[in-house]
Amino acid sequence: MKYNKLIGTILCACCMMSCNDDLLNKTSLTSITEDAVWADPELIQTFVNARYNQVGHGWTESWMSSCIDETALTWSRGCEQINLGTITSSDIGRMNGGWYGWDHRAWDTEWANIQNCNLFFQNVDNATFTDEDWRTRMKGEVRFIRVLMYHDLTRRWGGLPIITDYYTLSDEKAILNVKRDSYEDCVNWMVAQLDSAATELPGSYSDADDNGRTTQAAALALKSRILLYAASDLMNVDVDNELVGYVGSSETQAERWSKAAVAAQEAIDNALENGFALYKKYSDPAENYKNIFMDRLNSEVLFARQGTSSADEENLSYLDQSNFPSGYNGWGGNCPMESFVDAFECLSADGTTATDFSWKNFKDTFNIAGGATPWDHRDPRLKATVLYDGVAWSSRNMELFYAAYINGKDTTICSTWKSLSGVTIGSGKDTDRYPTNSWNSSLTGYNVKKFVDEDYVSDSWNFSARDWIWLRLGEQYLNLAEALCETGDYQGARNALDVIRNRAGMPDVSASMSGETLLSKIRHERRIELCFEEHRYFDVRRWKLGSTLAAPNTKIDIYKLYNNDKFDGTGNVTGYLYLPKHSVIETRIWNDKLYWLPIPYSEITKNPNLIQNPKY
Amino acid sequence: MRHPNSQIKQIFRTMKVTLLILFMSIFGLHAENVLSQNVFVTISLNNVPLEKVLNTIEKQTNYLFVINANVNTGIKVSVNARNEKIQDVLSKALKGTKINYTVDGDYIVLSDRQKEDNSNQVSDTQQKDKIKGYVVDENGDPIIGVNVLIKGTSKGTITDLKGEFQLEANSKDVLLLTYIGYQSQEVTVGTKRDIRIQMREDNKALEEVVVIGYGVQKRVSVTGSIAVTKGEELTKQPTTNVVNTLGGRLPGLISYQTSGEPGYDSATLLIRGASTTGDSSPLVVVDGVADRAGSLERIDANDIESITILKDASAAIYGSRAANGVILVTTKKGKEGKTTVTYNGNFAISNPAVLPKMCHSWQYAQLINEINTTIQGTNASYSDDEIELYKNGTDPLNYPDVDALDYMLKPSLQTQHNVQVSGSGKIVSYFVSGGYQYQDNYYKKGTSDFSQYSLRSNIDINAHKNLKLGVNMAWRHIDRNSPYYGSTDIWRYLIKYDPKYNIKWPGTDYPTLASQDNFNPVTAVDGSMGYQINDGDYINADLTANWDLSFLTNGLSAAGGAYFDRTDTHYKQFYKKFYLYDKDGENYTAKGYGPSNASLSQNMSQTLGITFNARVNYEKTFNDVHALSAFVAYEQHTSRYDYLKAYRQDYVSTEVDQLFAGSSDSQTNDGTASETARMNFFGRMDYAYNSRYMLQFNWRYDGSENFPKNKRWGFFPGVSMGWRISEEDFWKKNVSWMDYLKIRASWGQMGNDAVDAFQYLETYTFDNAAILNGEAQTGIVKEGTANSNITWEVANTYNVGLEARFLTHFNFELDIFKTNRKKVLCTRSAAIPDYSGLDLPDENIGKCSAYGFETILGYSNKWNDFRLSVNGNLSYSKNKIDYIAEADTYDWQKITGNSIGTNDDYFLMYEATGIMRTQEDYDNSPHFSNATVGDLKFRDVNGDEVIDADDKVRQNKPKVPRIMYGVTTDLQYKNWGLNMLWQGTAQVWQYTFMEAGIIGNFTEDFYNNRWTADNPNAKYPKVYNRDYTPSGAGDYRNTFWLKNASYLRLKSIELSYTLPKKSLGFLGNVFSDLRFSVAGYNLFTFTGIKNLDPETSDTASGQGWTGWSTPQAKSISFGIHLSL
Repeated sequence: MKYNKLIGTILCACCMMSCNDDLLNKTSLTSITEDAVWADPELIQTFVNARYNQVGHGWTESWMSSCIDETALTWSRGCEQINLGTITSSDIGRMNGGWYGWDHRAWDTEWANIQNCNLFFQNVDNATFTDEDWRTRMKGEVRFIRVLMYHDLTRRWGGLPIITDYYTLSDEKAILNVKRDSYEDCVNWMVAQLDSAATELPGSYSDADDNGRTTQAAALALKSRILLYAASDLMNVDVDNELVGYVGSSETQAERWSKAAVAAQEAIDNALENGFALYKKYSDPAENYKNIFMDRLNSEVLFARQGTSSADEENLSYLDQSNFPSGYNGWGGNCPMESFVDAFECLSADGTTATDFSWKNFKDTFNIAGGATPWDHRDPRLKATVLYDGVAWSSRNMELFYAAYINGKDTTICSTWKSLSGVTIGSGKDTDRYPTNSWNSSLTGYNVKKFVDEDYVSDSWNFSARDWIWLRLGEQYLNLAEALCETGDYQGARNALDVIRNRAGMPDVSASMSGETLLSKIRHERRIELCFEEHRYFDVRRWKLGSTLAAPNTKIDIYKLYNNDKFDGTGNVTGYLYLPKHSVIETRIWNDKLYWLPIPYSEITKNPNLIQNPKY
Repeated sequence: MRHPNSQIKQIFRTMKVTLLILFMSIFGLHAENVLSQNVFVTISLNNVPLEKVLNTIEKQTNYLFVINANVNTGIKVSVNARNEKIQDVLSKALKGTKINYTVDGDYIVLSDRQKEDNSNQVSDTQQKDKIKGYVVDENGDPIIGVNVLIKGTSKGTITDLKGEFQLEANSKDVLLLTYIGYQSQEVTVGTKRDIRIQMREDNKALEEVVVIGYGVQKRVSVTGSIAVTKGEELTKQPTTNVVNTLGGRLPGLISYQTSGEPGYDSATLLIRGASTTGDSSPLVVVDGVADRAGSLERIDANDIESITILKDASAAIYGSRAANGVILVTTKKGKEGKTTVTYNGNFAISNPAVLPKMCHSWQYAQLINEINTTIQGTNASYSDDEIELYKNGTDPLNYPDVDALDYMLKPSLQTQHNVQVSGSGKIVSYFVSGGYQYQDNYYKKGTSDFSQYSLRSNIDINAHKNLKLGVNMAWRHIDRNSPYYGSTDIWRYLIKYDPKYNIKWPGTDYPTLASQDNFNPVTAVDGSMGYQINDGDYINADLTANWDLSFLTNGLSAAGGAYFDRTDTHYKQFYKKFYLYDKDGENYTAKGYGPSNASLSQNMSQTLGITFNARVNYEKTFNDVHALSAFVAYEQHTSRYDYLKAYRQDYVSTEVDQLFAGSSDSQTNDGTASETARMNFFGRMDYAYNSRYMLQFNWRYDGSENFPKNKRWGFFPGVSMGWRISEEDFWKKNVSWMDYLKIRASWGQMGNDAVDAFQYLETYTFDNAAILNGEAQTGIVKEGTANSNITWEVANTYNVGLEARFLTHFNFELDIFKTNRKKVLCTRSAAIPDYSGLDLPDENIGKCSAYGFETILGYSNKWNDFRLSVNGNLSYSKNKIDYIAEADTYDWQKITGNSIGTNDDYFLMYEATGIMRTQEDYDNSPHFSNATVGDLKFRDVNGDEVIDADDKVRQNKPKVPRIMYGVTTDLQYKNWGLNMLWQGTAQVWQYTFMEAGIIGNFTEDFYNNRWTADNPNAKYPKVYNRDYTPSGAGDYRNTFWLKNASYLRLKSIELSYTLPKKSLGFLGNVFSDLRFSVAGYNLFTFTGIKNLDPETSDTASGQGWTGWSTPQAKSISFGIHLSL
């Protein structure tokens, strides 16, 4: 029957479909299989490339400088845990990775990159390479990046497990058997790995496309820094816990300083041999200093996390928008602290003498219009680092003052702030009394300039490309200076120090300077030269000077006196009233537990073998 | 010759059509007397069935024909008349027939004298007696047109205008009385010769047929827990988004709407709340197909026949996607009878339902001074003189007082139009509908709006005597326009706008620099910064076939269908420079803001879904008592998605906003694609014994591509049983006050496979490019750690229910459920430390559970011209996370044991125990170092005298309401109708902290009730400064601001008036129905939440700011409904 045939057909069709679920064998249209990746050197290269991508940077909304005595952050972004000491193992705050904006610097992201490096080492020898040098070079690249991650972790948390195996889900037992290795073992392992990397890596690359891959000089520079940290007091003096320093080591601290000095010298020598050099493109030292960070891929950079402009996807966060002054519609985020600005030395007109800055030089802190401001005749790097009142920036001069319309009153009566009562008060454009973005106005009376692109148009989110410099030659001279000074080679130390000072337009230190004076001069130089580059946080700690951080963080008030009574800003300016340290914006505290971060609480509960750091 | 049965059907059919009109006449027309002499008819018909003539007359006049059963309306007649009296026309038409007519009031009764005579003759031979009957309704009013049939014969008649009938019958005969809308009744003639029969109204809900998964079922036979609403209920609510009409109507459905932005205002729907930490959204099935293009959102409510939700094992037929419940949407079909053309339109004016009242400029200046002096330690910014200037308004240029909300907002307009044509013929029945919707936003001169065009054509074809085909086509285009700024930004800035600054310079059209982030409200909404367009096209195209195979064996049939779903989306974002003005003396200078060069980003996607299914049905009743129906079916679905994106910047001119006009140097593009597939077998078996005991078994054997080959297939059964106790003899004899009682129970095991696909494979994809030499160089990343054991979540759901109707007017329903969800996907984060570097995959290790109930109580009655029905429903659902593999932590911070939704870190908060009102209080309470007197006091949970993150306590107070209820009231009086929906929630919480401080304005409520040294017993703490002070946001989130957000709303109210046909004059010949209505939406809201809509949500940032979303609308609408 006709109908039976039809039904039969339908039933058969159903059966056929039921026997065969090929329909369900879909695969992702965007994926590549594991086997394919590790068989093809080109794809392995892309895997190595991604390791560079996962190297973090320092430009989230909250810079690390806002967790130390360099800057204060206009908003609450996890810095209080350090500055006010509220840190706990379950609330580490900004030091476990920056807040707002990615930086790949948290405990978990850095471990993830390490694990990916281990995945590379597990597979790289199985592929067939026609060019064996290529394989070797990639091993050196990944080895360097893995140590860089360990360095960034161990400088915050101390000795950590050295893990070189790649884990899978089935390795739960092995994962939970992991223990922290001692600080000493970690340093030794990192140094050995960098020595290997230095043999695997080229001194430089001939193909410009490789500009930015790691080199021998980068490996040696990182080694120099690791050894400098390892020789410092925090890890050597009165240490009773092998996780955070040397306990019962066969080496003395002095020997460690010597090793650090040798390593720094070796790094400098290798860099210079391979075409790296201190950046000296401009004759104006301030311009020169500024452009170390703006002029991408310059000769001083030993290793950087490169970024793109915001038109591409790897822009390193939005540092221009978040740090542009409020009057320019920026968010005025990281504000240089007064104590930091005041640390920049004064420079005589002929450039031969440098002295410490003091507000006392600004008689009664009242300044007649047209005279030098407190920020004139200072270390040229100040101008390249800090935006202060009156300095040219973008389309105008900075206006970090309040306007006082004294209307003919004798300026002498205005020599103190108190005598201003009864006077109409207006506002410069970058302060909290100005309509635009008052809530983003500087907390301290200063804004940052270093790293920030003056040509940025606020709120456009069109950012030019910048690179976060992890290692530069300038640091190596200061490493060398400090290590030599600690070993008693004051001459060598002064030479290395002066290289940096001269480049910045500063005179040599006194040829007779030595001992503690020289050491503190070197430390001061690090504070100025390397500011905001994530050195100060670790330097203060390794020098065991944490207690100096407990201090009020203050704001300067500046009154610009106009000889009229209007808000239109046209009257004659008769002078300035500077009120440094006029108000306390926060009082920072210090607690010895802050020398190290706590291991995250959840990690310890999962693996009790992970011993918590002291005092947490 | 026509079979007598079909003749009766024919009459019934005619009756149905006229019934509606008749029904309305009862209320509106009855009292009016018609002078039939004055009614004229124009008609010209030759050799047509009598029926057609009658229909024509009905259309032209108010008369209704009541046709005796013995009248053959199929006989051919001819009539030609031009404006002649109706009596003359009828005489002409009936000339040569045996049919008589009599006119009484609005009714014309037709009867066939000859046939009646014949039947009389027959009855004579059987010694029949002539009996008289009188049929009345419950109020004693006569019922016209009741069919009276002698059971077992084809003899019968209908009642006349007085409700009377005459029939020859003997004493043993049983009279069967049937009438639409009334319960059929059997009466034994007996010895009486004059019988008064009272008919009871049908309990319509019992006879109602409801849509269930892959089929329909009589309401009385339903054994699962389901809830239904009709499309016509939904159209009473004047809102363009049908999703937002469901809350409070369907017991078991939890809905909450967080935004009122046109085009982006869909409420979140959950069935019985969330019962998994994973994806808890229910499966939406439209006209038999799951996850369709366009889904439920924005289907024109006028096109919807019904919406059913499946809450328990009744959903098991949807297998691995059923665990979160199923929403079944059924669109309208062609209705039997003559063609009707219907227009529905409305016009609405909306305002925000709730708006906060913000501070005046002088109040805000005072608060800033307080921040300066008591928080920042600086000098006050504003002198008393300046505050006075703000207050007295004498210098509006320099000291204004701007209410940004008032300045920027206006009532928004909304219109909806829908035209439908529906009808049915011998071969084709059809429903065709076209709709248009437009909704504006609240902004003055804003560029934000929403519009939609839709077209639907549902056609059923009787292709062959055994074969029915269905062709359903639906297309919908939605068009969403917004300014460059997203609505959260706009509302954030509008709310916190600094009232001390003008929005435009007084006396000019120049927008000022405003106060913050260059946000000037005018340029933010008027398109001068650029725009966003978000378009979508959704097409559903179905071909279905139903093949009656009863020629093979009785009760057998086969059905199948092919369903095509197409989605196209288009998004465009243009961003350009805009100008704000600075005032310098008397001059205004424009300053450019935004990008130095314009940029355009555009993307498009397409999705094509193809579904096929086929099934075999069998349905038969054995021995009159064993009703069996069953089917087995196969279904497969495949889909493909493609996405393309392009970008250019550096536009020389913003006149041309197309890609080609940008600089090709800056161009970038991107694209991706994906595929999915499913296949499955499923079926159902229903068995009922004597309509008393019912058993249903649903199952699905489901295969999903989301899982590895050996874990792909799963079996999902659902069993339910029902017992209609009221059908038992003992009940019928003893319990007269309750005529319907059913108890039922169900168990089902269902799945939830809403997870990312291919998690079982070790794969890599291109990403994480290295930047070398300033350029991106390709990188590749491993896509997580593979879990080769991944599978679906499993839900075991238990339900017991009870349905009752009693005391004639009441109905009651109760469902109690429990569901246990296991194999919930979560990561093993508690066990695996982060240093392992593992990107932990989802594993099926979590467990959740939920329990709750729903209940309905309804009442309906009528008194003469009044008709009232009130229906209330209440849903309660409480859930719990039983296991989530969380990291070990303090007991008071644990997720386990708390409600789903509170597993986010967001719900870890300090517990505020009050305000540190005095210095003494401050000194004695542990507090943050930056706290001062007047700040909140936090509980030192671990007792270490320090307040830090360890003192945060997880709050078991989710954002999803645990209780939702609704009360609908429908009142009809003559031509007037009043319909209301009150809707509310309870056990729901909202974080109410609003961003304010130096950054922006506070509410006036806060200003009036804040702590100050002079007002130490205030309701609120002292002034705060955004998240810098330990008050309520960011790290300082605390329970002071976590408020109970229960509310009760008059969700909708509609007053309608149907015009009496009389008053329409000649239009009465054109329109069969004309109704006007005035409706309100969200007119009243009662809630403890101050300043904000209780349904609004804090932003996703987790910071704790609230009030950043577009408020829901409060609307008044004017509607018109007319039918031809």
